[in-house]
Amino acid sequence: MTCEKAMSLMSAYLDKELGFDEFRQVELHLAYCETCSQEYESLKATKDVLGTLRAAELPREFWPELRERLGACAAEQEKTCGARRDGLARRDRRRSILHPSMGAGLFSSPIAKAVVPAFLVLLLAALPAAWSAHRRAAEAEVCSWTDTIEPYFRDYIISEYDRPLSDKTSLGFVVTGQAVTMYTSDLLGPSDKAAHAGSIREASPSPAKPPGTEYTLISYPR
Amino acid sequence: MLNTEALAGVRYRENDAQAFEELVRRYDRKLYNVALRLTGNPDEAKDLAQEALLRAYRGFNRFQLGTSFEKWLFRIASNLYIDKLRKQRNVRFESLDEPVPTATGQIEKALPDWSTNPEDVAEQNELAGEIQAALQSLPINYRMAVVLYDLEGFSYEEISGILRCSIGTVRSRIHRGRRLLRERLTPYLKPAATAGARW
Repeated sequence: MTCEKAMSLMSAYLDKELGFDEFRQVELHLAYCETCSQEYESLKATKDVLGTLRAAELPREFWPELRERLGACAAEQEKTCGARRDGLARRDRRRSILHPSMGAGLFSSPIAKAVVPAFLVLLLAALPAAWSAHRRAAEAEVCSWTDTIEPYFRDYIISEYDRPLSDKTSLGFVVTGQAVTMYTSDLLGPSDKAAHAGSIREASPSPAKPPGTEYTLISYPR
Repeated sequence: MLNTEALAGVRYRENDAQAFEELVRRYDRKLYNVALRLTGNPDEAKDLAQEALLRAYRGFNRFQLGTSFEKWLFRIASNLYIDKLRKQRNVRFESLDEPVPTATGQIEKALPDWSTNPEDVAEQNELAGEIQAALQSLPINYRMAVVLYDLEGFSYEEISGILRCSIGTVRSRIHRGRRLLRERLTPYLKPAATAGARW
């Protein structure tokens, strides 16, 4: 180890803050280097002189003063925390939909407090019916009787009906006594009715059927 | 190091100044002495130590449980001192024996009683004054390292944590600081050691 290196490590050696290897190397160097040994002694003396400095006592007023400042700080923190808490509470109330500030007190009157829950109950009760109607409408859109199925059956029935040996029952007619009857909704268009003017008779909607359902009774004489 | 439970207990009572006081009581004198050796002035030292404790109290919720509370506290104090030095470019000098003006007249300053023996008092005061003056002449980084190690007994590792620098830097600062102090304090070193003070 060189003197330069040994001197740079001298304080750490003095303080026993070196690793084992470096400590041993400095120790060996000091054993034969007079100059570095003197450096060591002088640094040690400096450290010893610093050690003579007595620790000062805490001033008597230290804690009374600090206690006052801590108390003021705690009060300030409490105030800050309190203000923050109030601010958050105000914000929460503002965000609440039932707060008077929403809709200028719309929901704050006693009547409104009674009506709003009732309205909600009714809304919930009406939901299944609304859903059912919606579903039916959707199905009607998917499978339209008027546009696709009805024209096919109409043509088929008319052509089959005129055949003497056709099975009227299989075509959907109800054979009762002297009449062949079909319950359907406008199965035959105006042109069909004109073509069979002699044999088709339209009847009024049946009073036995539930109201609101439109039926056209077409009777064919046997 | 304080146990985690004690610190956690204070943390849950954040606004409890009394609990905080109980916690830091064990460090107050050491903190004041570090501040005194850094500033060289009892009033400034008192202010610095009080301010450091106040900041620790305010920022206690930022202290990480499981780490050294002492290191954290002294780091606050050293940072505070560096900040104050930056802000206060003009160092205020105060006479030790100048009377203090008050509303009713002037009063003499009361100096601290270091010892009961008047001769010792004189010697101690002279040496203490010289050491303090020598410390004040050091660059701030050297002064902090030397004060924390030689006067307050922190380890190199602890000092590296307080000053946020490597152990190698701490080692270098202490060594250079001591060499500068040696030059200033040569008349007070033992004769056997003064021979080495010529470099």
